[in-house]
Amino acid sequence: MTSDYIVQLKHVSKTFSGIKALDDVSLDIKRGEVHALVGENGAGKSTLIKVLSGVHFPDDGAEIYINNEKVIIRNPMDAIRKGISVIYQDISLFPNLTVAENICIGNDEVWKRKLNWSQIQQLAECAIAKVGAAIDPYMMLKDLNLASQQIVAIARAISFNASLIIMDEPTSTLSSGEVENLYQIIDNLRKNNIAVLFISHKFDEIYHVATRVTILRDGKFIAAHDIQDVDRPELIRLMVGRDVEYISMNAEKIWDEEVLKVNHLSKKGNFRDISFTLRKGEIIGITGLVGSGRSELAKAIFGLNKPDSGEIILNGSAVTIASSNDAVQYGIGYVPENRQLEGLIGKSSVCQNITLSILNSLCNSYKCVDVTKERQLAQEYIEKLDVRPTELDKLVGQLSGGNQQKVVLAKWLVTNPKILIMDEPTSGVDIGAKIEIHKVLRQLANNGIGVIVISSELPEILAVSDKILIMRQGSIVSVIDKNLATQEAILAKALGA
Amino acid sequence: MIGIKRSHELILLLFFSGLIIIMSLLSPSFLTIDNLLSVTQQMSEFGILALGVTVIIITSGIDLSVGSIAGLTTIVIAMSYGWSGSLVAAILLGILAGALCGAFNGVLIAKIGVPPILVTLGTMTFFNGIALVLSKGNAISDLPEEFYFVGQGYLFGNVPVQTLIFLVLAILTSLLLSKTPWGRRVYAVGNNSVAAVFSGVQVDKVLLYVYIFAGIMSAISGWIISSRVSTARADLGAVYVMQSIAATVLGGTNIAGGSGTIFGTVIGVSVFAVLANGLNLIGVSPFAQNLLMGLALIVVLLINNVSIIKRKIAIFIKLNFN
Repeated sequence: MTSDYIVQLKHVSKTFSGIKALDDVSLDIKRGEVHALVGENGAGKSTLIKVLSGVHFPDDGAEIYINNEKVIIRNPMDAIRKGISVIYQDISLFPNLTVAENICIGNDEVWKRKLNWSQIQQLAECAIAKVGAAIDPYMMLKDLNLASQQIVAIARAISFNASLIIMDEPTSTLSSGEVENLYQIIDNLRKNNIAVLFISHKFDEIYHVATRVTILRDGKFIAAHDIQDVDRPELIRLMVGRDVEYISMNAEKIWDEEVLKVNHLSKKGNFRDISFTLRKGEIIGITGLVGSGRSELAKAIFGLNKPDSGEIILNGSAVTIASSNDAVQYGIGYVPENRQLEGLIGKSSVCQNITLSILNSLCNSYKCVDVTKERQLAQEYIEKLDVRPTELDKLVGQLSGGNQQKVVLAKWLVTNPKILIMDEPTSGVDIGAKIEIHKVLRQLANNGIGVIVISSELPEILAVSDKILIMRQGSIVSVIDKNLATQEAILAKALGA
Repeated sequence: MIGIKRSHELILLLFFSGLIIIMSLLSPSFLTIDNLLSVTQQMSEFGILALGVTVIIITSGIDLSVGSIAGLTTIVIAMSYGWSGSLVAAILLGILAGALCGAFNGVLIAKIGVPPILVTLGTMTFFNGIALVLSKGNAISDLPEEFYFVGQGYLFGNVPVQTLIFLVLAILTSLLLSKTPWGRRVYAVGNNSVAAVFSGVQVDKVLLYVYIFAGIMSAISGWIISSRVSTARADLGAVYVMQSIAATVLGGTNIAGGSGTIFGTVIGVSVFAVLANGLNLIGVSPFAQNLLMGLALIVVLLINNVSIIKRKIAIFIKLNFN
């Protein structure tokens, strides 16, 4: 095995509407190694592989070297031709084509104007054999199970002479037997001098298959190590360690009054047997990996994800929340995780975003929106929350992340909610605005609102919550009082490590 | 939204003014009050259709059935007149029929979630079929003298009645869109229906009313058409469907939803009407008229998207010549 670099990334940054998803990241992958890429949710792993695979075009100044030669990756097909293939979590192949067609499509050697079916079959069989599997090339892809589809994707990569195969959480949909099989395949690839970039949250796997590891945090490169040089506690520390200290704020007063009680709430495939109580003036933090059921639970409380069983009790009586409109009527506000997609009407003004949920109550006797009243109210809240610039007519899409988030928050505050759910309240928000938002949350709680904060960012959870619920695979695995919690302990519970 | 819209409307207004200048230079009879009034008469029928279509396109939907609804309305009016003898009742029934057709579209789209283009592709034929079955495919002409007023009458001297109806409806629609909570929600849904749901907006209800509104506009348009031609026939609105969508888009309503104004649509409708009228006066053959109108639409849309085109070219250069 040689130790030269097959792929090198230097100074890779990627900015999405003013927010740096990647900030001067570098990544070196040696020929034939299994390289783990780790980091918390939102650390930039997905963006990095999308840059590497030609989905995203990096900001100016980025350098990508393949075989020590500087290249530009124009698009996904270009990346594949240059030897970089990605096996996505959801496979991303064509379900209604045969295995052979899926392997060969776009391959210049055989996919010409006149298709040569025997050649295509040969190439496919050869690629499958190289993976060390047995799959009938004439089968429709959709008739295979996910593990076999994954093998087809790997065979496709091999048939394109991939020198680097990126696997994005490849084991998340596999049974344990299939995982063993995948380890075999990865071993096989390594013997054939093909490098694997392995993205995973599961430490057992990382220590099992990887030889080296690169850690990202908040879009920045943190460290790269040989795997034997870092133990698990050290790896966790590198993943969560931050330079900034949040100000931890304690509740002034938590009332005895229960504003929300959730009893044995379950939804198949989302969450199981969830019970907790939220009191007036309290902030509950919910954390766990993406896919642990946190957001699904929040959406169930907000009427957007109908639970199978269990009950939701508001102020002492069980209620059915069948739609988001019901939730608003019951005094529940929800600041969603994806601000651009779910939180804001981007091409509409700050003012109109803030009043969207309460338009009916702003009507004059002609059933028209009383614009003077509307603007006064919006003005009051952008001053209260310090939204900048203080222009009511500015399109909300043109504000920075932190100010956008304040607008979403204002939208809910004008409804006078009793319960406010915030899903990743500070993702993509700069540090100054984060602390401001934390302060606002505490203030709201002190004024008697029950707040639920969902976050992957452990320092944030520790700083804002009075009580912390940790979710894993749809269940609450632990409830910790904030004073007794540490980041390492929470992450260990969330990972099940 | 506001900034972008203003600039598009400005471009369109310039284009429109240029068009009027060229037409008046080419044909001396163009810029006369009588001719201009007759232009407004010609544009009112499909203009009213376009009002409904505009509201629908703002929600990022589409309605191909507006013409069929107009046609069905003419049959319903004529038949229920023959059956009841009351013109007022007949017209009200016709408009109710239009509203019901719109509600039918709306339920399938908003409550069941079928894509608007599929639903209205189906109902375009379905509503037309109902009209054909009811009328046995015949034209119905035994309508009373008073019925011709909205399509052939004049008020204030020589202002066509349908011009006034179009004007009133345009102002009404504009107010509905800009002043009422429903109008605000229409834009919100078209801009980002997911965020609208997450804000507690009842998106299905908003959409249902949008399609009912378009149904009513289609019915009014059908009423005027059959009054003008003194006949009820199932296919009367059919020619205006694509034209009303084209005029709406020309007027700056984003086909992907979220933005658009009635003012823009009225100018879009006017451009088509002026082109048709002017080219007729100059003596351009109807075949070449189609060619020129299509070309006008493409040119304006290209100008409108010039920034996107520039960006595409910049990326192309960056990728291939760096």
